[in-house]
Amino acid sequence: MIVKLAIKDILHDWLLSVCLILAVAAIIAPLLILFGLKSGTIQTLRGRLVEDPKNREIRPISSRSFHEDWFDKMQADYPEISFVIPMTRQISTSVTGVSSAGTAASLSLMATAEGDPLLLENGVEIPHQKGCVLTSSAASHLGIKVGEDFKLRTGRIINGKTENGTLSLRVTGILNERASGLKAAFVRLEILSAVEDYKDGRAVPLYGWPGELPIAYPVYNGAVVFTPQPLGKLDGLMLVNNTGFTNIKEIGAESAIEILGYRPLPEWKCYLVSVKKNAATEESVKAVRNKLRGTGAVVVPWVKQLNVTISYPTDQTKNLKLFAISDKVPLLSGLTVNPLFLPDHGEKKRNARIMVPGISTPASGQMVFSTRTGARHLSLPISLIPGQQSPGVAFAPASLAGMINLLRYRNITYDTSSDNLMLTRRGYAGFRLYARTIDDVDKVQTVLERQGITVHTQKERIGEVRRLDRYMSLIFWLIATVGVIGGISALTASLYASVERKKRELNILRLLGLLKREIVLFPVSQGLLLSGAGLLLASLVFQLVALVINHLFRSHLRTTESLCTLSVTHSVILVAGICLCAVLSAVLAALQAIRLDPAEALRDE
Amino acid sequence: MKSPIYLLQDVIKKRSKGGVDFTLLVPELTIFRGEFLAVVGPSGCGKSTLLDILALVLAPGSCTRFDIDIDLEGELKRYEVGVLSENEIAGIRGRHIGYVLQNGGLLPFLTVRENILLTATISKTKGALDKCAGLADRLGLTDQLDKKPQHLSGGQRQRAAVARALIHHPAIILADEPTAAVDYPTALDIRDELKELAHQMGSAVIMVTHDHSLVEGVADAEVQFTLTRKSLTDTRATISVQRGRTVCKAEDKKRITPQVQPA
Repeated sequence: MIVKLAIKDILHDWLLSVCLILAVAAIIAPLLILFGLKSGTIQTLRGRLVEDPKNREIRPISSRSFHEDWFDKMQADYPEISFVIPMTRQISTSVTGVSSAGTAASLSLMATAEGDPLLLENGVEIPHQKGCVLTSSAASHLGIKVGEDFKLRTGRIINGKTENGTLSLRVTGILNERASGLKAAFVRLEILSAVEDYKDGRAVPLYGWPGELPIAYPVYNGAVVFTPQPLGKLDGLMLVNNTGFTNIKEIGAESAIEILGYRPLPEWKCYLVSVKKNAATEESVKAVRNKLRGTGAVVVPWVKQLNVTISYPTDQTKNLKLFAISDKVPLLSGLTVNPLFLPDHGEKKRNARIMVPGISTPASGQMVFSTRTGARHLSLPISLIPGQQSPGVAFAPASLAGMINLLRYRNITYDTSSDNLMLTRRGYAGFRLYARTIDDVDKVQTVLERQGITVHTQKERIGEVRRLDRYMSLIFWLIATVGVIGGISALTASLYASVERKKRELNILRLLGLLKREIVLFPVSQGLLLSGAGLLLASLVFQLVALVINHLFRSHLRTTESLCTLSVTHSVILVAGICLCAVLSAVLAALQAIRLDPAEALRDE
Repeated sequence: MKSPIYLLQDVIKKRSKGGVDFTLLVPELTIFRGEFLAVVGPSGCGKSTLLDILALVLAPGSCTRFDIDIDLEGELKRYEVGVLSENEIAGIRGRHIGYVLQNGGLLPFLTVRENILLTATISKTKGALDKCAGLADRLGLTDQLDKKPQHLSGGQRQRAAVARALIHHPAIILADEPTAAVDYPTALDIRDELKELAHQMGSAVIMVTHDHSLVEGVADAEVQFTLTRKSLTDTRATISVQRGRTVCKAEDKKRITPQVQPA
């Protein structure tokens, strides 16, 4: 009933009601626009400065080898990392770009891939295999535009001779000045790797660049010394002095079979010289051999037992222990060796030879070797040579076993075209990493530093941007506070005055027997209705003004940006605040109005 | 003998305004059901204070007795005003008291009909529309029911106020100078209509007026004020009641003119 009365009163006094609604709207509309501008500009600024990929970039300060697995692991383990891509050594990134007109400019090569925020957030597509994104500075130096082709030239000096490798790339995009001031070209990682390989003297068959092939080399875990006479203590020490080996121990006949895979003849005394951690090369074996020259001793390289899986032509697979043997083995153990197994058999190209038990004629098969952790695999075709050794044991020539042994230390692959085991890239010297937001930069930095990687971040810049953000917010809040206080006062005053005008009606209602709380409800509902209408009008005005502002600045804004906008939270706070203000002022005014005895209040008029 | 509706004993109300103290003393006041009581006196003698006390909007400063006896369908219900809560008092006002104000006191934003029905709604009276129509017919307001009060003449407004005060059949009707704003013949008409309607409903009417001729020979009883001035800033008014229709003669006025006594 009271609300109905309140509405009737508003309609009766429609002119005054309209005035009040206009007054409320006039108070609220500028506040709305102020807040809209505040959140709009701050958001846009934040979007532009705070979330600029440049500020989220993290780079290592010193170069170090990062294995490919490391990149995958980082990306997978830390959701704070939005993007990470390898970088080659600084020196291998410098190339020359030559435009079709003949203009040359030195460029820095940078690797990029799908998801690179530096490119994507600056509105440039990730280049394809033969494409390239240039920075605006690089493009202007070369005088080329998007869609044009240019030559990438990389040089090296081999034996005092300058050599060049060239590659044709198409410009798929140009990165604006703001994103990068460097003269740089963003390309796929394989191009960057190829350039580094080429500069290191290696061949890059994909682009037809000549050079040496990175053929795998044998590494050994030690050497076994066979002597007719026992070695003196001093002689023993000599073998681990300056030879690359650190340990020496005598091995008995029983443990010899475990270590060598065959039983030496009893007339030989056996010693194992070995390394503790790293692998030894052929040089170390030679050094030991030289120290024992003239003593009648035999020195053979030793590889720690390799557990391999060999596929026989009959589709049967066997897990075997692979040992290295040398051509001296008949002399040392009396083991007979199939002549096909021996090196320099005359055949130029052939598969690796492995002596296996359990077959009667030579055959071809496949061998797989995985490291203990399972991180690296090697699979290669082999020739199976029949042998008489104990079952479960396979023999490989020492140099082949050594090469396979290399897999324990770094990645190698079997290259079909050259029938060789090839070294693959060990890793990359650096990386370019982007945290998901600037607030994640700190965390990512900590993660990296815990791994011992000193990094460079845009900490200072982030701090500056944050400070700017804070100061701007502060200024806006100051203005807003003054505005809000003024708004509240004006709103309260208007509503208070309107209740004051209703004093007579309120007191009549009281005299007629309405309860105090019912009487207070009358101005409260009026206040809510009137300020609600004012709010509605003000939001209409705000929408209109926001539309105009955003339209005027549209050319400076990206599609998702808005200079004048209100979030839902802010709107709710505003509406709630205004309603609260209306209720409070109405209650205060109503209590004030009915404080006097009603008859008295009526007679006073 | 009629049963009383108001029972007041030793009610004292002191009011201060602008440094001047005014004290109203009610040694004893009993108002009977259906009685027409006139409260006559010049301004400043305490008429309004008495009416406010009776209307329960002004609490007495002290009293030995202030009871209202209401006949609720044959059952007598006694309200001791001193111990009632504010909401209970508002309830009594809404259900049992009709109030006619000097200028009608109609709400300007409601039509005459809505104004009349307002008290019916507050007191939850049944069949309010019929009663409204009946009252309007009796008071000659039928054509005015859908108008806003501002379009009515002074007399029509007062009649509407009377209708509003009567629609819920209250036991008590308080009329505060109900005819002050209309011409004399109209005032007489309104007085008669009020008295007659109240009589039909068995309601007691307490009518405050400064015009003695308006109630002369009509009122069942009259409240008179005796003013004594203790000092320049302290005035006392003591009331007394005279019963019988003949007591209110014109010469009685002299008795209630302020008597200044040396302090």
